[in-house]
Amino acid sequence: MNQTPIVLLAAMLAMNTAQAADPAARRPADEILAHACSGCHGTFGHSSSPTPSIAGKAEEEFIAAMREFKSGQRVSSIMNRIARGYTDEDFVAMGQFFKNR
Amino acid sequence: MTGITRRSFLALAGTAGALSLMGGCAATSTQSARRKVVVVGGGYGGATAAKYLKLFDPGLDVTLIEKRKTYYSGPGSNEVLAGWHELAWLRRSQEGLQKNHGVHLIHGKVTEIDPERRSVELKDGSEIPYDRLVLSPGVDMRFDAIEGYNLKASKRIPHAWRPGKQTLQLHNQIKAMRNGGVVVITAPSGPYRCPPGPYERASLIAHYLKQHKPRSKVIILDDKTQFSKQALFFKGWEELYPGMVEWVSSEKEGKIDHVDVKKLTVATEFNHHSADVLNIIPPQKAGWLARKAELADASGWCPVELHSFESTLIPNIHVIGDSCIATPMPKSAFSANSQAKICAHAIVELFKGNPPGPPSLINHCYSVLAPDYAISITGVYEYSVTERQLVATSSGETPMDADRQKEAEFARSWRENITADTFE
Repeated sequence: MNQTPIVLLAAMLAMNTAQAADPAARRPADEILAHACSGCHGTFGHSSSPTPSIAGKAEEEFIAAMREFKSGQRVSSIMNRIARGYTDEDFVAMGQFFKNR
Repeated sequence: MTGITRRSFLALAGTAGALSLMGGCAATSTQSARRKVVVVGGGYGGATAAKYLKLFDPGLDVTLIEKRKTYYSGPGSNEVLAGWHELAWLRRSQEGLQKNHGVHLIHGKVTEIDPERRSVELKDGSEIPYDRLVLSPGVDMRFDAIEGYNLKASKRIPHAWRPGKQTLQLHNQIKAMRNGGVVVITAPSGPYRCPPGPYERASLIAHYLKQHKPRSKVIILDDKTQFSKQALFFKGWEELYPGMVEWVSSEKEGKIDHVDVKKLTVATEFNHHSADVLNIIPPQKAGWLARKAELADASGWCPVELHSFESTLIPNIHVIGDSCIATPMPKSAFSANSQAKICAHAIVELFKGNPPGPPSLINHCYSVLAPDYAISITGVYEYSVTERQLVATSSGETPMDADRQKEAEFARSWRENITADTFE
């Protein structure tokens, strides 16, 4: 028997539990989400160290990267843990925030 | 407090808190130019708050008050203890905030807060009025918590939990120790600054000892039964310092009972330890100013409303960083930096007459075990309406098989970027 659908379902359920704390609640404002990133990536996403700058990154590229970090498709010892804390809508909001910085 | 009793003030405080949410309704954009925010404490919390207040609304009048002429960073201080850098390497200046963002910087000690008149008084007698006050006063040691360890004892046996002279004093004591000596560190229970700090400290002392006094060892007497990044630390000690670091759980020996700083001994409930060098890290509480202003509750820490970090006890005063209760966020520089942005954003919204929106925060803390070996812990936090507190929507530690050298590079990068994000 092919177990793939069960594995996929389990993965989807696991992802859902890592979504917003209260699914019905309003999401934090775009800039509120984005400024938390600057602790590592620099103010407005401008890094002055080897940590990558995220300022000026193309929106689609940003969103795709965050989705891949969240799913584990792209491996990073840190960003996998961070990305799991956000919804896909959050990635869109952050992508829009950083693209023009 | 004048003209009104404390009890009647507190009775009013709930209403006043609600009113203060509305207080900005009458404000126009031109009035916002005159809004005054005073930030007390120029560490990672206060400096970030001052900077982001100006970034969010350049028209605000923001004053940052820091009592120390020279401020030293907590992150990195264990590396100075291990002799990797001079103390000056930890020095951080708030002057960039003045130059780059127009924050007024005052070096002075706040001795009094008057929440009714909304002003703070400095030691030199000067008074500074505020519309909103942000306190980021860090931690104080609880010198009444361990028998035999008080302020006077800490002059001989430094806690070195606030970086500065004590960091060098402890470094020198370890440097003077015989080869084959024992360094005993006591780690506290309850909320304290930098939960993985005592274990990073043990690691970096072991790094020094391995090079200079290889027959020596480090014993951690823990008032807890488990600690942050425990499995990762155990693995690191086994790989880097086999047989040199011993962790003693309170499950095994009971709580730390008393200390003799002259004989250099620590008694736990069921055992007794002699040290060549002793480092007591005491339990902690909110910084002095927050407690003096009656912003702390019975726990010794300051309860806050988590959309704005405004005190739930006194309106128009916000408390961020180590002093506030933001469970489950740990007390760290990263948490303080993240909380400061939420607080600054909320203050600007409150001045506009808007209620603050839902917060989103991150903590990410590295522990360095050797120059090319680091591990980290992460949390992403938001407010849960049902639980009425912050909850982690994601949390985790460095994967067991991850590249520790890469994490050490990330740790160095982080230090550069958070320093710039906070102080420049």
